[in-house]
Amino acid sequence: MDATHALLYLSAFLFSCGLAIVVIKRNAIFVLMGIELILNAANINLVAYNAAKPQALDGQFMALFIILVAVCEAAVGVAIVIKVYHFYQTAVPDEVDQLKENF
Amino acid sequence: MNLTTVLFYFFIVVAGSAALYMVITKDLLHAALGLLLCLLSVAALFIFMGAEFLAITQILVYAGGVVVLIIFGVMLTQRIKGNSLVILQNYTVAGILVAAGFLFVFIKLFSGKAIAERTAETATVQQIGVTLLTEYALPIEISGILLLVCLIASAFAATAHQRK
Repeated sequence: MDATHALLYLSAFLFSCGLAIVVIKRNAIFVLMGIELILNAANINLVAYNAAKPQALDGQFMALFIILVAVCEAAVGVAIVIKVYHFYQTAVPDEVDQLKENF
Repeated sequence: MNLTTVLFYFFIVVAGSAALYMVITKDLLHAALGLLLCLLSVAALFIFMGAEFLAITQILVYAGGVVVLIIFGVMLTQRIKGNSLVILQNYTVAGILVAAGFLFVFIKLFSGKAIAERTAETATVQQIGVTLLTEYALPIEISGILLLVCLIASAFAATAHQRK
């Protein structure tokens, strides 16, 4: 098994772990962590394929922009989770089932 | 089997087991530290694959920013009374089945292709900087705007507003 294949298998494994976390865990912060893991798996894939052509930097830049978007997603996600926690007093996604406060 | 190869596979194993630990554990803070370990190992792997700039970005942004942000989120959304931050789980079997299915499909997909091995020299930081400001100038500007928007949005969303 060469290095590139090892990285591809690792990225597949990280994606599966992130997906399992998103489905299994009953906590919004945990779900955010799973999404970070999934985005990171995509980054590994891009870098692994980019390493075959070191002078073409497209894969690395794509990974760079994925990191940027992941940062924005984490910041806004944590802000929303904190807001939801203040309103519902819970961080469990299943228990947040109303869009507007009751009148 | 030289030292570089051993270290490469060592970091692969560390990243994989940290991710697996995140799935297994029910403690929120332990999972955040597992995420940190996983991201740092992936940064080390980026260095092995000739993406030094990306590795530094990964350490700065993920390990320094995202994980700290997530730990702040844990602190602000859990009632901490001296006990550990244990969370509940549901759909355990379904989640593991879906994840295993995706893992099987991806491994099937990746195992067939033969990929050219890494050749000779890698791009320097100078090349990356020049490319970033010429060919990728527009995406960089757009991501700057995206970062500004998300900064304002998250600051606005997390503030406690006076209800009328």
